[in-house]
Amino acid sequence: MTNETDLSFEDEDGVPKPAATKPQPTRGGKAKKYVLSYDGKTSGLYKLYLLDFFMRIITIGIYSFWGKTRLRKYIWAHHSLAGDRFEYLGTGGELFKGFLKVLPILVILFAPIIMAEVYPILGLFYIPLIYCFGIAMYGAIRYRYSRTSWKGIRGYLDGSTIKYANLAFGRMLLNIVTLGFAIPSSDIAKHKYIMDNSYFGTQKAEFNGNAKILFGAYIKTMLMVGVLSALIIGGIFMASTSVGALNQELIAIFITVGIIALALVFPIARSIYAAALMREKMRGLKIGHVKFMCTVTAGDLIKHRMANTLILMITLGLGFPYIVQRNIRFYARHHIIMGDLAAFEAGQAKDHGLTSGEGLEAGFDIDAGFF
Amino acid sequence: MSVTIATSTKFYDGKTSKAHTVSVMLSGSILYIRSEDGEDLATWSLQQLNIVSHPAPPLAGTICSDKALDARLTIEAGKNWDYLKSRIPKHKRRGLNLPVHWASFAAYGGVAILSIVFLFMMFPRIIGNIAYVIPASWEESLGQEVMPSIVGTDKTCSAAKGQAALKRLVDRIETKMNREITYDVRVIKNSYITNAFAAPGGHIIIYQNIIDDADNPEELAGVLAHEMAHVELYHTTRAMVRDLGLGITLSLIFGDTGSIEGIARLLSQMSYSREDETEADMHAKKTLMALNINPSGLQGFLRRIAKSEIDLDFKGKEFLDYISSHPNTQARIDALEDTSNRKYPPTMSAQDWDAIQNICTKSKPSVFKKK
Repeated sequence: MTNETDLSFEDEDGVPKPAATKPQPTRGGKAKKYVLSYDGKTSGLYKLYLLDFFMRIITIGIYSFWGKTRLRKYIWAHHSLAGDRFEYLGTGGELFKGFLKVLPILVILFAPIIMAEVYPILGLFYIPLIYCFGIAMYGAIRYRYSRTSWKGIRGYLDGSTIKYANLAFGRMLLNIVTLGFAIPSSDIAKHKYIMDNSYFGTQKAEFNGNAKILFGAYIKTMLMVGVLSALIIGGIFMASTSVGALNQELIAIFITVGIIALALVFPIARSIYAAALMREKMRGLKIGHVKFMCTVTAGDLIKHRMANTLILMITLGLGFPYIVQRNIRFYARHHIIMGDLAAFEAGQAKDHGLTSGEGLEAGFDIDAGFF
Repeated sequence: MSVTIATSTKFYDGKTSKAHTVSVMLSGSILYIRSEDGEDLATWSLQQLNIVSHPAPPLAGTICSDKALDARLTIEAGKNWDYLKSRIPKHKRRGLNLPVHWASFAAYGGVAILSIVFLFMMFPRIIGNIAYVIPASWEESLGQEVMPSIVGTDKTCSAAKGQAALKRLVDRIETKMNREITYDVRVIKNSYITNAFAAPGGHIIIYQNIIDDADNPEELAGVLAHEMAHVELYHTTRAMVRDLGLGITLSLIFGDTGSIEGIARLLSQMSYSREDETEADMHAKKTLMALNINPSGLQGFLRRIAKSEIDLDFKGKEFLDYISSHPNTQARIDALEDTSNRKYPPTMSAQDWDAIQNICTKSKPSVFKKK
């Protein structure tokens, strides 16, 4: 199901995105096309964010679990696919309980790191912390799947949290060792583990992405950042070895111009790879006979992100709910679901009832704000 | 009597994603959900209905039953919906209430609170005790780093005879100290400050006024023994770790001197706890008596401070500063009472005392070298 594919976590713009749709007239043939339909209002989001903001102040932050839940309920409910709305079934109480559950673990994880300032050897405790990020990530997805319903059928994430954490941690090490060249294959491998364990009820998803397709975009991204960095470093080096009074000024100018150029180029360069990854994540995905397509181009993504940044800057951050709205619309606009959804049927997954999914994962929910 | 709530509306039974077109009838307190073939797909009792979402255009109202939490029946907004809603028990109208396991909630809450208690009450104690394991050499470099900022441009009094006499007194007290610290005691020429304090690493500063105001050598010996006790008992380092935070302490030890100025100011205002003061008093008294020096000197010194608490014109402000970091002076004076009726020999020769009192006739820039 689409909602599963849409819970993308690498999107740093901040919003969980369930998916949804409206039947689109098909141009004959068996494969119908659907797009996600979102009818939420910016004003609706503003109300929820304002409520959340004030309630957090009053309740010293504890309301955040309920605020987050209301926001998700709103966003999910305003998404529809083929005329059927999505539903978020989670509760603030569950998130709060999950938070209480992991609090002692967090204390154990963070206490040695505070001590690490005195005993540098305790810095090794950063390793379990990084490792736990994988656990938290998988748990968060599992929780959201189990609390997302469409046509009365819930999502479900199988697989082992530990296996995913091992995979994510191992891949991170590989990325470091290969100086980043393993990033495309790591991203695909991690996504594959999640997707191959994703279910819409009894319907299993299947992911066959290809890292080779990503490599071109990745090289472009690396080249842009690499060439620019080399130019700047080279410039500084040249300026520092040249003789004369201009030395100091030249270096200062190079550094300033370099930082500005990097700040501009880096997001653009990153978007090239990010867009390619978004497309590949959809291209490789299949649930039953239903296939997916993402039409985002690097240009679309760059324009969208630049506009977001400008809006945030001009509104001094007050435009954030509008950014959320924009992100959801952007996502909905660029995703196509292909297949006959009327003929697509799934049964409810057994043994994963509404009351069983709550556990460690609830508290490790990435949005719970620990990570 | 039966009422038709809806005709040809959408129903999902929560077992499969198959959409059913149904008509809905309310007969007595039972809701009949009937397929187009006239088959009853579900019969729900009003008492067990839950409103999952209220119809706010463009959303339709959705209900489910306690017996089928995943099932979804949608009903368009209108008077039929209003009628059905009015018949559903009030507490079930607000949304789907998943069962809450209060016992587990309480258990997790309890453990979470315990961990917070650990973090905020036990952990600072552990951190405070880190002072005991910081190697003396670190402490030394800490002191060396901050001393120049505390003293500023004030000069060190350096009349040779005075210095020699002072050193003899310090060496004598040092014989009763257990920590392997070499004390660097110096008199600082500045007639505006009346203070004495110890920095980590055994650096002890006595401002000229203390010497000028002292009536006899015992007072100076008392002040010295008191300050050295702070070092001996780890008060200085402990207070520093506590007040300044580990990060700053560490950056000092390892020589990141960016914020030395601010830290030095903080350090000179740093206060010991009342317990630390009393402990240092008692330690000083014990040390002095073991050295056959009359401990009432410290008492006399404190008494003079206590008096000036009232007599504000007598160097009022500086004395008040001193008092504020040395609280509850009268209690301390009482505690220092020597009840042994011992007779003490003179602490030092009249020439030595005279030399110390004239120590500031010569002075040189304050330099803090590695010991």
